[in-house]
Amino acid sequence: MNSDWKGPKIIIGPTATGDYYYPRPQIEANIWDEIQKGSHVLLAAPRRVGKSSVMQAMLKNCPSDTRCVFKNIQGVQSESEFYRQFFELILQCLSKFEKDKHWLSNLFQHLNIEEITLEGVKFGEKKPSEYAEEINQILPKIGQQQLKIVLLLDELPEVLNNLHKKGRREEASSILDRLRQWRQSPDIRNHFSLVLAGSVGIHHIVKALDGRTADINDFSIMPFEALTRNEAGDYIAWATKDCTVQYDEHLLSYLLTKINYFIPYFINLMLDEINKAARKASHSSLEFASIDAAFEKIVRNNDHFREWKNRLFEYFAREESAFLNETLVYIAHRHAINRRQLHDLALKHGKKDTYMELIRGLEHDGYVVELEGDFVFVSPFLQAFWKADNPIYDHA
Amino acid sequence: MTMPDMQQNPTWFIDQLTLYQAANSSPEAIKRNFLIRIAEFELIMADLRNKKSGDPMQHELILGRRGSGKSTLLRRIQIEIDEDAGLAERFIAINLAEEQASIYRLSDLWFEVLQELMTRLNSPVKLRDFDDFENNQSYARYLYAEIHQLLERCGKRVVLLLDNLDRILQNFDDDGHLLRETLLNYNDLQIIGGSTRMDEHFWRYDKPFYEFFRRHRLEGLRFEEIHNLLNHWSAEMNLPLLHDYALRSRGRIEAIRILTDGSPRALQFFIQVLMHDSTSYGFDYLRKVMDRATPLYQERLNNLTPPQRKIVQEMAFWWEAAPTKILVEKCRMESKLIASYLKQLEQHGIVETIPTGKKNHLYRIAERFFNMWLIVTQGNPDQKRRAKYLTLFLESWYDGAELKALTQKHLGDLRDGLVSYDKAMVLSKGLVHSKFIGVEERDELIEYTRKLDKDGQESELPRKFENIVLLEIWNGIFENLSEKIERVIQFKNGEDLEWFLTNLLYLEQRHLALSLFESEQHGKILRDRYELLYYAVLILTQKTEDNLLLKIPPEVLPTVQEIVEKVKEKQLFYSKKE
Repeated sequence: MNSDWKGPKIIIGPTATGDYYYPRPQIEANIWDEIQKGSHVLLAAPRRVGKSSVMQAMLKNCPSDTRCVFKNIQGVQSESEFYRQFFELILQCLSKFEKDKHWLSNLFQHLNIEEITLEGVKFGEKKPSEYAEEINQILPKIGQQQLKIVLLLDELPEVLNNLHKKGRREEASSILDRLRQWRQSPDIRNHFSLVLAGSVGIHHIVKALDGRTADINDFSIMPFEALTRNEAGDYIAWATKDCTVQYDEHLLSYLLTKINYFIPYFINLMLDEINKAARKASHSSLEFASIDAAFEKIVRNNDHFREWKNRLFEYFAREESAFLNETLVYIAHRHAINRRQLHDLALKHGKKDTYMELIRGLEHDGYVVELEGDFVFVSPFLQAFWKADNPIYDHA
Repeated sequence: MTMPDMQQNPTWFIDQLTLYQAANSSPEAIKRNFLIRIAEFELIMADLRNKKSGDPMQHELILGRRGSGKSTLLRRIQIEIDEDAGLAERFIAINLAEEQASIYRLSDLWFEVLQELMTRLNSPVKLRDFDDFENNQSYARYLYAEIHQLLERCGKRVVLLLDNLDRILQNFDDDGHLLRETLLNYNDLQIIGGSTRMDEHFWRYDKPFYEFFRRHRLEGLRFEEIHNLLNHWSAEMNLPLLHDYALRSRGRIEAIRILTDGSPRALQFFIQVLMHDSTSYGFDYLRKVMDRATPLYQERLNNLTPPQRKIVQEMAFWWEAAPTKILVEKCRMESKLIASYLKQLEQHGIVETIPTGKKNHLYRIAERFFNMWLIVTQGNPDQKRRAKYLTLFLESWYDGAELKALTQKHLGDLRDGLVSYDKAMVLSKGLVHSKFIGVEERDELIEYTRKLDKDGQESELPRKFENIVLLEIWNGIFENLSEKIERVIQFKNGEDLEWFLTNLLYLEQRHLALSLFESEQHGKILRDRYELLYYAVLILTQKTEDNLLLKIPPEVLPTVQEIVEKVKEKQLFYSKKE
């Protein structure tokens, strides 16, 4: 058995934390800046770009007067369950302050709290009956102190979407209302910040629930940029340090050209696939062909990307998805589409008045990105998949 | 171990292997017999070994068909964690192979994990009653909290090995969100799951486990792996014949690899055939071996929904890669439905998609032996197609000389009246289409087989060799074509070839027909006998130099033009049909 083989330091799927987290100091700093200004923050990016990792990393960099808690709340299934968890998170966050704060011990005593752990809060015999009301009570008290709490909530949009899908729109709507009240309460301003992230676009959901997105307009939206080419090079060097498979300057450059758009998840898929193949062949040195083979294998096992296409047809009306799909097929074959060509396609599909909004939707959901006035695929993997799935494009 | 008479007990090897495997399920034997999937095993173990206490856990998903080695891989991982002191210090492996049937909610899963942990850590916990909780999810949260506390106390993490993870998640519904939430909020449990398919839970964006697992596809076995496996069996079961067999019969092993798509379990059925002089026993023997594969394939079939089964069967009978259009026609289902079922079947690893570079892809059964088994066992076997599959099977199995020997033996049996009509028919059909069988042998086979047909029920034995050649062209098979055409012309002695030549033109083989008319050997005879057709070929190939059109006698010109028109029309017809 070859037990000396060392694979890259990557994690595929779950949140990259601890040593596996590749620091994104600029994004973290931007979020902290917003929090310091008293804003609430929405991390807007599709799945798999590293939102949760950044949120978890922020726990370690709190300013001295601030405490944060992070929680994935995806399993929440009712409005009351949400308030219970929200309340417990506030308590958990407060419990991170020094216990000698007099007002805090009084508060915990008043609330009849026996123990606070990651699993939840253990109350004595008298338990809170109405968690939303408890939150109403506790927030102004926090506002009176010289401290700040930050709740980092992952997957709230998913919770709202699940409630909506189950015909419990009222409950989802109430959660949004309550959250808005708490955010905007003057008593708590600058003492409480909410950082939300979610894989399902919260704007889509809020619009579906209330028909407008005004309820979340006060959030400061934090875009989640991909790594630059230099950062991606650093990331690969960092992830493959001391590994069996090494990338010299030429291989690294070729790999970066192949990946093109540097989201850690896609880089990880490539590093993993290359490592697997090398290990299987017991051959640690790479060639350009090894990188090509890994790329093709990832595209061929296209369940990574099939869903992107399905989603297009699920989320958009028929004519809209036809227009967007043709645009993507066009880009897949021609590598880019400029505004004139886009306009031409829009006219063909009768989308003269809405096409830019639709294209911005694609951009927001991580399909395309604007590059010097042209729109190109965010990921060459997705482009290769789209082309393989639509091998013929007859547009003159 | 002595080998028994194979003819009396044709499944001897498989019986022995089953016995051997049943008697060797101890950790030691599993380690000793673990010869394939080593790369996946080492990769997963190395990553586990390198994990420090706070590092995030890598959840793994092992994808492979039934019989591809998933369960053994999971069991091997379990043994390694149990036995390696460095790993056992940090991890507890839990393999819920037997309890799995009773798990349909997340709370069931945590309950089983908790029971196992309490036993392994010798730390009984007095659990609260299910009735104490307002709903099942609260109960599941509570059970996990107990697991978490036990693990915190002992300072270890759990590696949870779950075969058929797709089936578990399928039942989870809302529990799936809670499971993901738990796995992300706590870092003390790693799932290594096996699955026969890339279930929608793993790839749908709106499903909780979208892109959550690192995937390992268990591909078909490579030649070297089969070689190692055979040598291992040779040593373990004292069967010298298998030692280095793959090196001696590389071609045959490659054939097996293609037919079984490299499936380790299906491979075993073929080893049976390797174990004896294969030409001595004929088709019955192969049939028995194929029947032995029934439990494996029947289970595979039973796991499909009725419409999926229908598609798989029709695709099997079609044998070649089929476009959706053919399946729509055969299954009498809407193309949208077919497309969605095909997607599912591809995820199950049963069907493979062959990209054509055009809009419509082709589909076929991934494992060719499974395809044959379906044809043999699943009723309604269209005789013509059955013959086609048999030919391909026999040719991939036997080499030319063996096939000739098999033919001679079958002919001998026919002459001596040793086989019944039904049996004779099946093998004769398989043989007559083979490229290794000469025209005389073919006709002899047909003649003797027909003689057995007392009721005159059979009309499907090929009467004309030229039909087969045309059929091959129609199917795009051009191997040794000129040789075959030469045989047609020689056999016919140049007579009665109009139909054949015209059909070559219908199948767009204009230049092939021209080359025949221009060949040194037969050109003159053909030009003399089929003059009008020759003129038509010249027009069709635009060989109209020297004012050809003017040279054609005016009284035959309309007839020639009629031929040309008819050919064009037919060409269009056939190309459309394709």
